[in-house]
Amino acid sequence: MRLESISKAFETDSSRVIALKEVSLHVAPGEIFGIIGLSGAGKSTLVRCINMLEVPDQGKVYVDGTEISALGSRELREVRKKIGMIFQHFNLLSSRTVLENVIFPLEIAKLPKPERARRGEKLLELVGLEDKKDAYPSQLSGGQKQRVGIARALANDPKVLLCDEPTSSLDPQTTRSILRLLDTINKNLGLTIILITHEMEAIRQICDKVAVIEDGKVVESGRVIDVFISPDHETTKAMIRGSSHIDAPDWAIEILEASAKASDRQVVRLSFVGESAGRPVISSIARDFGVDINILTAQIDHMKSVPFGVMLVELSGNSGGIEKSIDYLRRLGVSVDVIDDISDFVTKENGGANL
Amino acid sequence: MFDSRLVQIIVGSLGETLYMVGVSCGLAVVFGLPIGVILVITEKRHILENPCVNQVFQAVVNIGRSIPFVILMVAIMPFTRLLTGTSIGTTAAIVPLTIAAIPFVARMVETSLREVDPGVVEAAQAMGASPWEIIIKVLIPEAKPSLILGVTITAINLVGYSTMAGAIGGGGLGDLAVRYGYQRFRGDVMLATVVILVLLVQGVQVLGGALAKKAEHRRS
Repeated sequence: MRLESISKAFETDSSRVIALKEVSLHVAPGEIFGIIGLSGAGKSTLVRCINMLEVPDQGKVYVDGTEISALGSRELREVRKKIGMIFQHFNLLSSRTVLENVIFPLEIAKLPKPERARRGEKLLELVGLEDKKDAYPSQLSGGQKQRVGIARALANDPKVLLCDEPTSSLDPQTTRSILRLLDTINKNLGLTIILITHEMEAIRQICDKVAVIEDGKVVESGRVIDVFISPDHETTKAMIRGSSHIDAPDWAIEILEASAKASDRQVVRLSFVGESAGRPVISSIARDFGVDINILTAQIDHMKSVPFGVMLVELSGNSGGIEKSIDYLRRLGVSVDVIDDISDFVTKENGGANL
Repeated sequence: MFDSRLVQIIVGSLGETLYMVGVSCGLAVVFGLPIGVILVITEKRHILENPCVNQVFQAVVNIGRSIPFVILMVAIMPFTRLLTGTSIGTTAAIVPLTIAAIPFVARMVETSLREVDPGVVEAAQAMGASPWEIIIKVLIPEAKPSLILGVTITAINLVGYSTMAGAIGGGGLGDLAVRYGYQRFRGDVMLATVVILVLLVQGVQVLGGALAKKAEHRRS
């Protein structure tokens, strides 16, 4: 799937709001591609340009080799049948039961009736709601509604699934289970998924690639791991910090402040990914470079299935040793951020440090 | 209190009222529903946005709604004669009643369809539904409880209008109340017709409310 310099502006009576500025994206088949941005960044408009719910002012959209932006309305409707979509507010028909909602797209696709019911039941099984088929949406929880939404979006065997903030109105636990379901679907059905979100957590959990969008422009994009380890753009950095913060104990603040002044002490943030997380790097620095290491705080997590660790440590020793240690760590593939300004870490409200 | 002849007349008048209201309400829905749908779908950012069509229909509906019924009834007499062959009588009264109710129904339908969650319409569009499918499978079913209440209000209004139709020999309970109750000083007949009208309106309201509730699957 490819977007080529998409631009879109909205006209209001008095002003012109530019929602997208020459956005280009390339999404490989079978990928989970995250698009993250703060509200108003233009991400929802962007995803609607993919199935032409919003018609871009400029640019071209290709899905599976077809230029969607050049189609007439009849052909466009045919293509849309092969692009599933789920929404933040689920958008289920309140007048239809769960099963009737799921088979709605099959009605639109004019599938014969017995076939519809059979497929509908199978889809509900896939999302684990077979016992709710005769319930109405108003009787379901948010997570269950989104599962119905997913079953409905998959009804016509789409190649692409567009997800517009699918977990933004769900609690954290339900969010995780919905994301897991999307991940499973991606693996089992080989579906390409575009995930719009403002939660870095969602990106970290299931996405292969990510594009960060701000003020209608893609400011950063790439593999999720790379973006997480070495974010370039300020917005990205802020979002990552906001998503994976570890509260350092109060005494760590004093150390942070003290090392900022001392020349023989340096606080660094180490990010480990995959195999480098498994090596005994800390002890080898201490041995080979004569540097003492004080671990202030640490967290091991995983990104999709790759282990991912963050550690805030203070290195102390002669400055040559510290420099060599940092070089050595970088050679091993550990990402090292030298922290000179501690104000980034000290949050005023609680006096704790955030990493 | 009443002799059997009078009872017969009252029952006959009730039948005429039901006939006028029933037929005109049915016809008003048949014509008013599509107009209401057009008013909504041609709006800005709706499925068939078309400002020209929208403004024309808005204007027509507003004009229709602003003509007082008594004047409308007289003004369209030639048209009534053209359709029914006469301008007097119960069947003739159906024509002005229907014409008065069509713009009313259109506005009711418009309000009901506007309440349908735009997200649901968007979801249907994303699935490749055509505008016709969206109207038939999304807008109308989703608005059904509200539409039923709209028809109920229309029917009740028509009961009121139908009493005025007595003025052109339309018959019905209103005509009865005027001819017997007022002109012949039969207070008891007047009271009887009023009681029947009250019961009729109550009945329509209860029935409409029940049907709307049955169609309602949202949590209230």
